[in-house]
Amino acid sequence: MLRILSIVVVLFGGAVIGLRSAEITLDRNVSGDLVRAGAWEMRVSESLVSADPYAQAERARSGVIPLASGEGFTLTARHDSQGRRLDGRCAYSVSGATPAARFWSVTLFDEAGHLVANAAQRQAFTSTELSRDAKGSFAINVGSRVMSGDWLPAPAGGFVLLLRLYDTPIGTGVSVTPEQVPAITRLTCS
Amino acid sequence: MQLIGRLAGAIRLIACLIVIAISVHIVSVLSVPSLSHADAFSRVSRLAPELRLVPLDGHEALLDAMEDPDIAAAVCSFDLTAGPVKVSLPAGADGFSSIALHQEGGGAFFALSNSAAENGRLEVVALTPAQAVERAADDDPDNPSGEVRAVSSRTRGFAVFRALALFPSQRQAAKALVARASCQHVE
Repeated sequence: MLRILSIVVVLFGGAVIGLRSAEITLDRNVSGDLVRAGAWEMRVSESLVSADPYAQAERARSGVIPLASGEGFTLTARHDSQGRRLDGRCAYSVSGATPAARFWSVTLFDEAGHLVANAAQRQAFTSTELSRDAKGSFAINVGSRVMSGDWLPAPAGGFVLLLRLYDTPIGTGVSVTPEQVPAITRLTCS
Repeated sequence: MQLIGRLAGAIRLIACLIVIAISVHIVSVLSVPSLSHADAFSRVSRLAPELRLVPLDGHEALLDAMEDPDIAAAVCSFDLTAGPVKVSLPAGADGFSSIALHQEGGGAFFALSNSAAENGRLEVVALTPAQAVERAADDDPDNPSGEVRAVSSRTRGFAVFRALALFPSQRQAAKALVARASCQHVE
């Protein structure tokens, strides 16, 4: 009797632990191909047919169509260059280098992944619409308070920045170094 | 002696538990792509019949929950069992536009941007390995067709057409551009 009971417990317990651990791993998006450069992180094999099994499972659950190698590449920032969580109560400057790409854009989302409605009707900048100084450098000012220059309005709480590179060698075997990505510098906090 | 026997039994049970847990974990992760109905291919093929172009307005949130608002996109699903499928998109005057071919089960097997456009169009023929061999055999060696061919290891898939509006004022034009994409079977 005890023997049968223990077999049932082992089978059932093993199944529960196996399923639950798979679910937790996939929920946390922890596939092995996450790469960091400066404040930005990226998933290298996201669009590949041969992505690792966790990346494939995550992709199948999310149902999104990632940019394919040959189209472009997406980088995500949830923290500033010092590693502090992005927060709209602070002001930030996004500036510096960008990886080689024909075009790129920076888009702001709140932590729930929604675009933020604002009076300036500004949720993104493409590389062509930014103002540049004499050297060709850009600076995107991010924060919930009105700022001068190219201002990307943020919500009063946490937010996420997405840098999308269109027509770029990144993703087809070319990796990104911290020197190639824009720095996210925290200016002041209210 | 009895204690050692019990201990050995317990260790054996725990070992079995671990082996079963690991097996279930691996099997469930591997089977998610084939069991999921929320994957991109399933969602695209639910939108419309095969080869019909569907513009993706922000509401469908299919591209990405966090999609670039300056991107206009359209999709069409296809099935190569009935023959190769040609997808095409006008290249657009300037800016960025692209075609990507994704297969059932996930993953892009081909992508092309307008920096590689010929005659003002982006055009690619999706085919199975067998169809690719057949088509190459039909080619006139003195007068190659020059068409771009993309071989898929799966018979079903979908095409995504994207166009980037460089300025907010170009968003309508970008939508109009992807609405002129086409998907059709070719001989």
